[in-house]
Amino acid sequence: MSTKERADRIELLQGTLDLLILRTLLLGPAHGHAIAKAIEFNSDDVLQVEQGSLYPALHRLIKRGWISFEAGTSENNRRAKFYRLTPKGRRQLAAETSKWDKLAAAIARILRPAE
Amino acid sequence: MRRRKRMMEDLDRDIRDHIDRETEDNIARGMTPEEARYAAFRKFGNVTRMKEETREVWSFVWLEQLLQDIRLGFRMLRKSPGFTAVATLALGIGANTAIFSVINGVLLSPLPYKNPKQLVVVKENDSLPDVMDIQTQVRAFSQGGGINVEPMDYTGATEPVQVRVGLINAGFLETLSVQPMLGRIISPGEDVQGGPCLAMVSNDLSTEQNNVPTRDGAKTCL
Repeated sequence: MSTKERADRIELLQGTLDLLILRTLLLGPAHGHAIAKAIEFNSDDVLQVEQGSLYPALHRLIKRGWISFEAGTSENNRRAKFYRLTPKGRRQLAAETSKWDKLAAAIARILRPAE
Repeated sequence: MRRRKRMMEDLDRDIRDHIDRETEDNIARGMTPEEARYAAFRKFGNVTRMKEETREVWSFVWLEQLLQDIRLGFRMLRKSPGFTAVATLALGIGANTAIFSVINGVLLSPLPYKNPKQLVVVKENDSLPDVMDIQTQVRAFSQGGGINVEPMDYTGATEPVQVRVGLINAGFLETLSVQPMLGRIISPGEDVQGGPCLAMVSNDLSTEQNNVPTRDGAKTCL
């Protein structure tokens, strides 16, 4: 567990995990554990991913054709499944990202109208 | 269905692998192995629920794919209504033609024999002598004959070949009033025990095996 207090952590919004997985895979293929680590690390441990929920999300993305997977060996020679962003997934990521930006900006305007 | 099974088989290995990695990370942070493993499981969450959620992802894939195929089919048809109309017409005409051909051949056209309306076929797995008994004892018919088809070997050619042979009595071809192209049909009195050995060959066989003997009228070409 990290040094952060549990109270500082924020549960992920429904549906945002898919977006974060796609964004993580933009950097290159990765296995499941590495994806979870990357999301936590890159959010300074603020986002709390229940790691188990990662797998249904990965399968959902495979089914939609946004990511693909292949068997490979990771560091220290362990068998692992590597997930990779597909061209379709790349387009989806772009669309979802701009949608997220709009949503975040809109919520910010409502919460802080004076600024 | 197969895809779902394969995906679910891999999942167990992925989970084990994931928890092993997390445990190693925790040990590297200074936990004891037991603590490390426990923490890894806690962080992973409810394994059973997660497997159930993953299974649900794949549960109706085959049905969805079928629906997609049907939707695509309809879309293609809507895209080219002219083709759809022509195809429907073509299929309709084709089906009617096929049905008419069968009805015409089987029910409407008369048989190409003499007095086709009076012909009756009696089928029985009996020997030819039995047939001849029926022929003499039953008074309902003016004429009759028998045929018994079985495969036999023809050894007159360079290589022996198997041919379908119909063993007949004299009445058979006479009743149907069929005449051979060459020679004559078997006459009454020749189909008795100890009578001459006579055969007719089909046009196909005589052209295929062009040395089929026709001498003495003992073997006649049909």
